[in-house]
Amino acid sequence: MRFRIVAAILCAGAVVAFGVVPAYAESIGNGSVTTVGPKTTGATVSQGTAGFDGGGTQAASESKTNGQPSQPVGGGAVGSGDGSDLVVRQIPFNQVPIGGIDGGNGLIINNPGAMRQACPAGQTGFFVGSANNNAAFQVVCVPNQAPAPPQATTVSPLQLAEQASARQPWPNLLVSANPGVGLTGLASWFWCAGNAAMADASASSGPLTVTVHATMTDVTWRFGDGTALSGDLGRAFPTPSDIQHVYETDSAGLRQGYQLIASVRWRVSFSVNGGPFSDLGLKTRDYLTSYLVRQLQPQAVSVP
Amino acid sequence: METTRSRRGNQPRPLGGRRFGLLLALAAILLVGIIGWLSLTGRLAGLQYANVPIVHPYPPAGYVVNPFTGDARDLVKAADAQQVKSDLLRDGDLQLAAFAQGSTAVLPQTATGNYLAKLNQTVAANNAQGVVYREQHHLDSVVVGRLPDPNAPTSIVWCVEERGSGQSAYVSKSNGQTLSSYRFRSQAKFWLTRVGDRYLVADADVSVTRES
Repeated sequence: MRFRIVAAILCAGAVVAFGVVPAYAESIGNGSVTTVGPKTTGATVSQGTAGFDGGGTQAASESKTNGQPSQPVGGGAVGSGDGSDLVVRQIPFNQVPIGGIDGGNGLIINNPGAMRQACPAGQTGFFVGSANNNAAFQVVCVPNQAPAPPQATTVSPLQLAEQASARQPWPNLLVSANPGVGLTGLASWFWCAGNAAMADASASSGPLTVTVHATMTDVTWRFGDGTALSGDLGRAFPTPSDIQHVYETDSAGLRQGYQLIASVRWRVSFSVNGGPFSDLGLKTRDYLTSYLVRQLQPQAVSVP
Repeated sequence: METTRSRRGNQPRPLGGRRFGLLLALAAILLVGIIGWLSLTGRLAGLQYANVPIVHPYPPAGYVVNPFTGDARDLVKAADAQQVKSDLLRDGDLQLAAFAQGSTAVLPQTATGNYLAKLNQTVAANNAQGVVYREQHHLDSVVVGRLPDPNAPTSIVWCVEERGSGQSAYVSKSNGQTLSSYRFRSQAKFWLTRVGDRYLVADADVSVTRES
């Protein structure tokens, strides 16, 4: 009876210490002693109220690192704030002797024939006692921290698809022409050199993974003289390109010549978690070059 | 009187007048010897072509050494060389456009003399076969300088040497299809002469190696 009263007082002291003192753990490990003290910097372990069960004291509503059992301190002396130090040590193998604990320093009496489970499944046991009172140790059961529930997804699949689409690198295309310098009245051939294929890209958030796929659809060619043509990438020399244009005026008044723009469009679709693809929309990129056009104008020249 | 500081006691002491005079005399003898040696070996005249930054930059501003001779005494005016180069590139572009069109109308603006006649013949031959010639090329180097035209060494001296590669195609005039094409590497010398305010191609020595 006397033992129970002392143990209850010590246990209450421990709970007060955990609840009030912003404790920190310097190193938590098997058998290592960690000093926990007040008013110091470090990772804060927040703890709530303590309850009791048949096996000892149970601290509830703790939070600590994910995947690790929430433990008061892992073991060591705890400053209680009233001058007495608490000793906290994780119970090895969650086993305690049926006859109780003793040893003065928190060690279990080696009595392998009479052991019982210290804490219920899902909880981790700790010896908590006073360093000044070797006879009084108590078992504290702390629930193992459950894995954090998946965070609610705040990003929609459409937003993820747009993020993934934005990550797709633009293809390197080079607008080319033949002849290299155009001539009025002569059909110039145009094409985009390079591969217009765009690599797929993905974006994830929580349980969602969105993959986007882009397919080139068409190219709008603007020849710089006010005319435009819708088509494809054209064909590279020496194959006659299907993108041809006959300039009627030269580019003499333009410093860099005509500005040739090939606006390449891709249709983007997206898939959520490997599902069917849905249409996201179109995206366009302009590829530019300058093109000189000279005038075919017979003129008299003096011949020596 | 010139003085130096002695190492001991930081006391001024007179510089040996005799020693100084001796050093001066030795330097003068050395200088006279070098000039004499350069003069005797005929190298004294070359000093005027020596490039001494700031003191005597060479070639003088606005001139470059003629790349076809490499002779430091043979200078060409950089502005003239630049105009020859730009005129040749323009002439070449127009000639290729004329070939692509199968028209000789623009050729007189680009060439003269025998070379113009040769271009006209080429276009006529292509037209006779119902094809036009197109070319896509890349120039690796363009060198401009003075090099007498073997066919007119006294009157045509500006030369441009082009090295490059490209691809040519003969295209049917009737259906616009490419009938044949090949890749090539070329090395060509073009001689230009000034006609009016422009340099026109007067002669050429073209070497083309087909690669495919």
